[in-house]
Amino acid sequence: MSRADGGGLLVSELVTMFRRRRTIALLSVLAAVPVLIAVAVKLSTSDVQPGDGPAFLDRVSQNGLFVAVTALVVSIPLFLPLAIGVVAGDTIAGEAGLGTLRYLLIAPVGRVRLLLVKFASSIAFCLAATVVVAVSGAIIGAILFPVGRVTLLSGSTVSPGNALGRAALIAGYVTLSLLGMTAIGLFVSTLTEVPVGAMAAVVVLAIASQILDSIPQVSWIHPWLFSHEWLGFADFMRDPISWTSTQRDALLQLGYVAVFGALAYSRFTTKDVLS
Amino acid sequence: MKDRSWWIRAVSPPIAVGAVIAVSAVGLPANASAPQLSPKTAQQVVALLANQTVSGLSGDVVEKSALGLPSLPSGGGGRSTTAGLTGLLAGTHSLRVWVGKAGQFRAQVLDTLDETEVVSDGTTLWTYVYSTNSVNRMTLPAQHQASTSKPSPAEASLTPDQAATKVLSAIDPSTEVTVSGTASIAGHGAYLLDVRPRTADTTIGVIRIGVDATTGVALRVQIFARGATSAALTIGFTHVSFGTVDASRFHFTPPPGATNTRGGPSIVTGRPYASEKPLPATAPDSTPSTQPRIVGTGWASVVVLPHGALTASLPDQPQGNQRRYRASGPNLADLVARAGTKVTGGTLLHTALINVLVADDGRVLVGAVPASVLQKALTAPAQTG
Repeated sequence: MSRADGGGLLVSELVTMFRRRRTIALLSVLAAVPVLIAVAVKLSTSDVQPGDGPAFLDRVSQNGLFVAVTALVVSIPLFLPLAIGVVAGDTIAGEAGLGTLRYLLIAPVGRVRLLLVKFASSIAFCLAATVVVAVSGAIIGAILFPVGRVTLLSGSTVSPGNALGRAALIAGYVTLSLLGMTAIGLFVSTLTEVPVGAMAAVVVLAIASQILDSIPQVSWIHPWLFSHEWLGFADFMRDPISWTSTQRDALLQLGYVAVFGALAYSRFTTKDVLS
Repeated sequence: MKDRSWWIRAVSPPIAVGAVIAVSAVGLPANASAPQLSPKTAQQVVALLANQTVSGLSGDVVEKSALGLPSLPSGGGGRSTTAGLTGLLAGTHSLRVWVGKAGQFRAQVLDTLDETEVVSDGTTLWTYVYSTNSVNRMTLPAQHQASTSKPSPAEASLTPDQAATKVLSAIDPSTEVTVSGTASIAGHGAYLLDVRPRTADTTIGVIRIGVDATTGVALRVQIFARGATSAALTIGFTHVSFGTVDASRFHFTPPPGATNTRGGPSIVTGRPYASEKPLPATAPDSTPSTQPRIVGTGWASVVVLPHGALTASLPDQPQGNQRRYRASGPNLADLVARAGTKVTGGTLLHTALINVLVADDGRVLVGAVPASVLQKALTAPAQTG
C-alpha cells in the first residue's frame, strides 16, 4: 500500500513538474541551444577552424551528429546547472513558499518519502534535460548537415548507429554527473522558504565549483569538486571506451548524494513546517 | 534548540559514510609497503630488463611533471590546452598504452575533450591530434625496424647477464647503477634500479626505473633532480596487463577531413599551422653554423642551437592572467622572456631538470646541467656534435 502511494506520489509529482510552464520553458531553452549552434554554423560563410570556439564545433559542418556533442559541451557549464538549480532548488522551498508543503504533509505522506519523491523527480528532470539537448542536437544536425561515420577522439571512425549508442551512454553519464548537484539543491531547498534563494544558491555553487576547478593553485581540491568530472563524458568517444571517468564520477556523485541527502533528511525531518 | 544535538547526531554517520566514499573516489595512495622479492644485483636487474619475455602489454599510464614550468588554468568548461605532446611537460596526464611485437605500439594521451594518438605498426609512425584534426605520418628508418625486431649477431651471442655486465662496465666511469630496493607498481612487485650520474655537472640526481620482477618490463621511470626528494618527472603504469594485443590496435587509418602533414613539428606541438608552411626556423641572417652542436660529454652535454633555430612552439603556458595564446602560440623565446631571469650572457629559463639559456647573441643552449655549465658552454670552442 505504501509503495503504491509512493509510486502514485511520484507519478503525480512528475506530471505536475513536466506540465509546469516553467519546466517546459527550461526544456525549450535547452532544446534551442543546439539549434542556435547549428544555425550559426550553417549561416557562417567561413569554415570554423580547428581550435576555434567550443570543442567539436569545427566538426559540425562535416557531421551533423556533432551538433549534439557541441551543444552538450556548451550546456554543461551553465545551462544544465541553471535548469537543474531551478528545479532542485524549488523542490521543497517552492512548496513551502506556496504554503502547499503543509497540506502535502497533512496528507498521509511521510517526510522521508516526500523527500525521496522530490529527489527522484529532480533526477528525472536531469535526464530529460540532457536527452533534450542531445536529441534536439542530433535532429537539427541531421537536418542541416550531412550525417555519416563519426570520427572518435582516437581517430577511428564508427557508424552513425554506434555513435547513437555512445550518445545514449553520454546522456546517462551527464545525468549521473548532475546527481551530486541535485542532492545539493534538495538540501538547500530544505533550508529556506524562498525558492529563488535556493535556486540562486545552487547555481552559484555550481559556478564556484567550476571556477575552483580551473585554478591550478588549489589542485588538491579538484578531485573533490562535484563538477570535476563533468566533461569526462568524452571518454565514451574514445576507442576503446574508457570507463575511468565513469568510475570516478559515480563514486564522487554517490558521495555527494550520501552527504547532502543525509543533510537534507536531517534538516527536513526536524524542520518546523509552519507556512 | 533541544533538537540541535539530535541534528548533529543524525548527520555525522552519513557524513562519515560520504567521506569514506569520496576518499575512495579520489584514490588512496597505493599500498606503499615494499614487496618481498629475492634480492638481485644491478647486473641481474639490467639483464631482466633487457630480456623481457612478454608478447605484448596494455595498460594505463600516469605521467606527472613537476619541472617548475609555469602552468595554465585548464578545464572549467573550456577545452584542454595541452593538445600535442609538449603538453606533457607540465602537470599530470593520463595515457593508455598498448605495446606489441617488433616496434608496434600505441599511446593515447587522454585530455579533456581531446586526445593525442601516437601509433606505430613497426614500419609507419602516425600521430593524430583530435582537436586540430591533424595527422602526421612518418616512415620509420629501416635500421630502426631491424634493431627492434632482431638483435645483431654479436648481441645475440651474449647471454642477457653478460650483455648487462658489458653495458654496466661500459657506462661505469660516468654512471653508477644500483638496486635501491623494491616497490609495488600497478600491483606488481618491482625492483628499483637507480641510475646515478657520477658527475656533479648535471641537474639529474638519479633516474629510478621500476622493473617488474616477473616479466622485466619497466613499469615506472622517475627522474629526480639533484638533491630532490620528490621526482621531477614520473611516468608509470597505474594498471598493466600482459598478453598479446590485437594487431588492429596498431593500425591507424587517418579519419576523413584530417589535415595530413609529414614530419612537420606539429607532431610535437599539435598545431597544424606549423606544418603548413616551412618552419621559419633558420633566420636568414643566422650565423654560418646552422646545425645544433653538442658541448661537453655524457651527462653534462649541452646542446647549442644557433641563432633563430628555436621557433618551435611550446604549449600555451602564460603565467597568471596573461592572455591566452591562440593559433600563433608562444615560442620558446617568448616563454624564456617572460619566465626567465637575466644572467650573465643571456636569459635563463630554469626548471628542475632542464635549463635553457638564451644567449644575448641569439644562440640557445639547452641541457640537463646547472646554469653555470650552460654559461661556460657559451664560450666553448666550436665543435661539431
